[in-house]
This record gives sequence, C-alpha cells and structure tokens, in this order.
Amino acid sequence: MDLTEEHKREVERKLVEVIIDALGKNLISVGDKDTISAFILERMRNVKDHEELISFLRELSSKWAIFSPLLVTESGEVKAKSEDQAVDKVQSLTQEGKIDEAINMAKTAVDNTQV
Amino acid sequence: MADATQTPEVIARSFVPEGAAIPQTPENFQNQDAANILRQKLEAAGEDPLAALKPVEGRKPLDVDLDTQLKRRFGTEGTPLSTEEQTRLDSAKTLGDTAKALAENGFESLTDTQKDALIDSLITDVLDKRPAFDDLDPDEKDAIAIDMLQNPAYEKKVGEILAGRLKPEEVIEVSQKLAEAQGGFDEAAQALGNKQREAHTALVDRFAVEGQLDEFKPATAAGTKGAKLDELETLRVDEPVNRADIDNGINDLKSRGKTDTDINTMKTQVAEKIARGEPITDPDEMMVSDVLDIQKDIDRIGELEIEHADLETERQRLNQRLRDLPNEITELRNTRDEKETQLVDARNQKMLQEQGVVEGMKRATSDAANEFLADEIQKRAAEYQNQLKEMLDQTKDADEQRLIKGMQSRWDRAEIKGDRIRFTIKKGAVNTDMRTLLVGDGPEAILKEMLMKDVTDPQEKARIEERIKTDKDFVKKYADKIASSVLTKKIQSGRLYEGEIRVMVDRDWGESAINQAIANDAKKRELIEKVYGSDSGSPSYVDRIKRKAGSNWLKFLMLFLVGGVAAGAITTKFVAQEGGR
Repeated sequence: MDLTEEHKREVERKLVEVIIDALGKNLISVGDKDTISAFILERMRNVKDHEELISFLRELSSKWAIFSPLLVTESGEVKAKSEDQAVDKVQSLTQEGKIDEAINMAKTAVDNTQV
Repeated sequence: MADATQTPEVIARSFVPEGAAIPQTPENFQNQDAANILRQKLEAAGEDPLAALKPVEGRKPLDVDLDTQLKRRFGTEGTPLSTEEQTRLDSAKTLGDTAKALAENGFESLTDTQKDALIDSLITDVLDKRPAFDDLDPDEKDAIAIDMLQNPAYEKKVGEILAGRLKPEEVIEVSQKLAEAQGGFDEAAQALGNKQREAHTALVDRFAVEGQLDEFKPATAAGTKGAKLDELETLRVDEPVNRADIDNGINDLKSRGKTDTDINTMKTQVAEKIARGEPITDPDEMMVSDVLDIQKDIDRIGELEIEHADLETERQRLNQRLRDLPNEITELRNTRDEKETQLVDARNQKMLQEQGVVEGMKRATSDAANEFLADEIQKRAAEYQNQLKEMLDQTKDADEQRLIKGMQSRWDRAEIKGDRIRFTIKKGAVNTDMRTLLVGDGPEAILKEMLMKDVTDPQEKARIEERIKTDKDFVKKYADKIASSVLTKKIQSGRLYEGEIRVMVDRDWGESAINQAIANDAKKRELIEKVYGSDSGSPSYVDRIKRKAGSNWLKFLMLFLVGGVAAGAITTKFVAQEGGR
C-alpha cells in the first residue's frame, strides 16, 4: 500500500514526539536517545510503503517499547485503509463477475491487515 | 481499565497518574533538558521532522589529551606539586573537562552544575561587558546564553580555542627554569652554610689557641704566669748546669775508654731498654741513662719554643681568617639572596603560568562567545556591504551611485587581513548620525550632506537641492536606507535604549527604518515570523509587534533588535513566555 509523503512526515514527527515524551518522563536516557535516533535515521529512509513502515515500527517497538502505542495506531490506520481498498477492489471484481478472484482478494486483505 | 491488546509496557505506564512525581536525579534533569532541546529542534525542523534527530554536524572528539597537556603545563614530572599547585591543576582540569565536553558532545550532555557555571560565565564575561545587552533582564540574558551554548558553530569555536591552548608542541619552560633556580639556590645556600661553619670552627680554634698561648704568658696583675713559660724559664736557668753535667758524664765514659761512636751506640741501646722497661744495671749504661735524662730537659726547651712559635703563627693565621671570613660570608649571602630572588621569580612565573592555564580553561568558553559574536557582527557587516554592492550594480543614477558609495564607507572601515577583508564599525560616525536622526534634522539631513560632499559647483548644488525637494521617492528610498543602516550599526556597535527606539518610532521615518533593519536581517525576520506568524495583513514588523505583544511591545521590539546581535539568540520558547507577561 502506498505511503504518502505527508503521512510519512506525520509518522516521523510522532516518532520524535515519542522520544521527547519518553525523555521528559525519564523512560529513556540521553544515551538511549542517541541510539534510537541513529536507528530511526538509518532505517526510516528505506521505508517506501505502509508495509515497510509497519515492519519498521514493529522492529522499533521490539527494541524500545515506548514506540508500541505508535505501532498500534499505525497498524489500525493501515488496517482501515487496507480494508477500504480491499472492499473497493472486491466490489469492483464482483461487479466484473470475477467472484472467485473477489473472494481470494477479500481473504488476502484480511490476512495482510492482521497485526 | 487497560485494554487487553496493549503491550505490557503501555499497560504499566497506564498506572502512572498524570503529573506523578518522579524522583529528580541529575540524570533526570539532563533528560528534561534533552527533551526540551529536542522539542525546539523539532519545531525548527519544519518539513523534515527527522532532522531533529540528526547529530550536530562537525561534532567529533577533540584531538586534545587534556590530562597530559595540563600536567605538562604544571610540571608534574619533577618535584611533587604543592597543595596550591594541585588545587590549581584540579581547577584547570574541571574547567577544561567542561569546555571539552561542550565541544565534543554539546551543551545537553553537560551536568546541571556545568551548565549553570557556563551560563554564569557567558553572562558575566560576555553579555554584561557588551552595552548592547545592558537593558536585558537576567532571564533574557539566560536565554541568550543558553541559545549560544547550544549553537554548533559556537561549540566548534570552543574546541578550536581549547586545542589552541593545549598544543602538545608548545615548549613549557617554567618548570625547567624553576628546577634550575632551585638548584642554583640550593648550591648557594650550601656554600653559605659551609662558610658559616668554617667561621665557627675558626672561632673555636682561635679560642683554643688563645688558651694554649696562655700557658706561655708572663705573670700579670690579673693572672699567674703560664705553666709552660714557667717550665721554659726554669729549663733555661738549669741549662748551663745540665750541659756541664752531660759533658762530665761523657768525659767519664771517655775516660773509661769509650769512644764517641761507642757512646752514641750506647745512647741508642739504653733508650731502647728504657722504652722496653728493662732495668739499667751496668754503670756505664746508668751514666748514659743520666745523660739522656739531662738531654731531655735541654731538648724540652727547643720543643717549648717551637710550640710557642707555632701557636703564635696559628693565632695570626686564624686572626686573618676571622678578618676575611665575614666578607666571604657576606658575598656568599648576597649570592644566596640573589639566587633566592631568582627562585621566588621562577616560582611566581610558574604560579602565573598555572593561573594562566586555569584562566585559559575558564575563558575558553567566554572567549569563544566573544569571537562568535564578533564573527556574527562581521558576517552582517559583509552582508550589508554586499547589499550595497548589489544596489550599486542595479542603478545608473549618478546621485544614487554617489549615495551608495558614501554608505559603503560612512559607517564601516574596511581592513585587509590576509586574504580577507574585515569590517569594523566607525562608532563615532554612527553615534553622530544617530544624534542627527534622533534630535537633529533626520535622515534627509544626512542624505543631503552625503550628496553635497565635495560639491563646489553652484549649479550642481542647486540641482541637488531641487531633486531633494521634488523627487520624494528618491528621498524616501535613501532616507529609509540611511536610517535603517545607522540603526543597524548602532545596534551592532553599542548601547541602544528603549527611549531611543521610542523616539525613532515617533518620527515619520522611524518605523520604516526599523522595519527595514529587521527585513534586512534574515534571523530577526525568521524569529518574528516564528513567534507571530507570517502576517500578510500587516507587512510592518513594528505594527505586528505592537498589536500582538500588548503593552510591552517596545520591550519586545528592543529584544528583537538587540537579540539579533546574538544571532537570533532569543528562543521561541522564551519569547512566547515573554509574550504572556
């Protein structure tokens, strides 16, 4: 699924805000901040679509749990968008009479959006 | 209740009430600072939020072995340091560590104590010494100092200054000179001690000789005759009799057939027997023994005379030494005093060097701040000159060209330093023109003076007068430029009072000049737009500040104008707080 530049920037902003929040609440140290920053800067530039974004956030959350809420939020958005797109596609296939393809599409969409 | 789908960490965090007190440790304060700085960076990052996470460019470990270089300057390899020297070394180390940490890892990496010390130092040693910052409140100065301390260009400058002050190739001579001075003093003190001991010994010897000579003294009213003189006089009286007795004895022996050789041999043999304690029974030998005894008394006269003469000689020698020694001691004492002075000088030199090192470490940050501000002003002066050059390139109008060329050198003095041109502000000219603006005939008077300068032709003078009267656009354009230039230079070079701004705003040219001064300065402009937003409905910065900053607008205008000198040193947060006053 496509990831717009605007949404990517929004996620990037949220990532920084999570770090600020965690520092403010002493959940991470200044040293942690530097490590996390280096990780984000290195990995985030390779993120091209939503799947890669979720994969990145999942890895980030596994290393530093402070990012888990962001993963949950983003996954929810991706799921909703994927579902919307899947519904559109399924409807379109159904209208074209491609029932089997429509069913497969619906199944795939459900599998892909599970976090 | 926590959602079952949330991670354990999120659930755990949900138990923490909002605003719950967290124990504050130095690390916690450091985290708060880092959070604040990161927030400011995020706000400044605009369309690239991740820029806030990027490490500061150019920040890298300094190639400075602080510990070794400081110890080298304190001469720790020689004699152990005194308590005072160790205290100075510790102080230099603490200050140097702070400056190094700032240069290598940034302000946010420092402890609260280090941060407070640096802020105080910048305020005391830099801001308080610049009239431009006189009217700022302590909080405002704090904000400017912190902003500068967080500036990467400033960090870099601190690193350069620190490295320059701790060069490994720098020859440190004071410790060596102190060691040499100490050696010279020790040697001189030793020589003086030896001479003083020699004088003491001579005095004791002289006293002893005097005692021995008393044995040869004739009787006086105060004392009896010396024993040895008495002995000598007795022996001398007895000598003729003794000699006759010896002659008689020898003659007796000869009469008994003994030759001189026999008698001499017997003398030796008898003397040996007596020495061995053997009894003398032979009559001839007994005669020889008597002769030997009597001879002893005669020999004793010579011995006593020699002893007396030797004692007199020794007394004279000692008397001479005792006369000479005080001079020798004085000379050695002078040498010792001279060496002591050299030692004290060397110690003072070392102390001064050590204090210089401590001061150098302490001032690394404030000197960097002064250089940073000087560079900033320099940059602005160069920008101003570039603007004038662009204006000059764009006009063919001779009057405009004349005015622009006049402005190029009216308030700035250009100096060629190496391959660079450095500009210094002509404070006298700026102050004179500022007076003309505030209490004189305003910028038009300066404009007219610049156009009329060196013009002698009456027709040309009349033409200029006419143009000033009729060409309002021309006059307004350059009057504004002149007023804003004078204002900018005044801000950069010295004191500016709220009252002066108030007077300026009241003049018909004033608001325009201030707006132009702000518009010409990207950092001021950026700062105002950041705080008050880009307000297309109100192109006048002064007007915008008046409307949005309320009754304190003049104070805020002042902050924006003066703060610009410190490279936009007033932070958004600070100004936002001030806006709420």
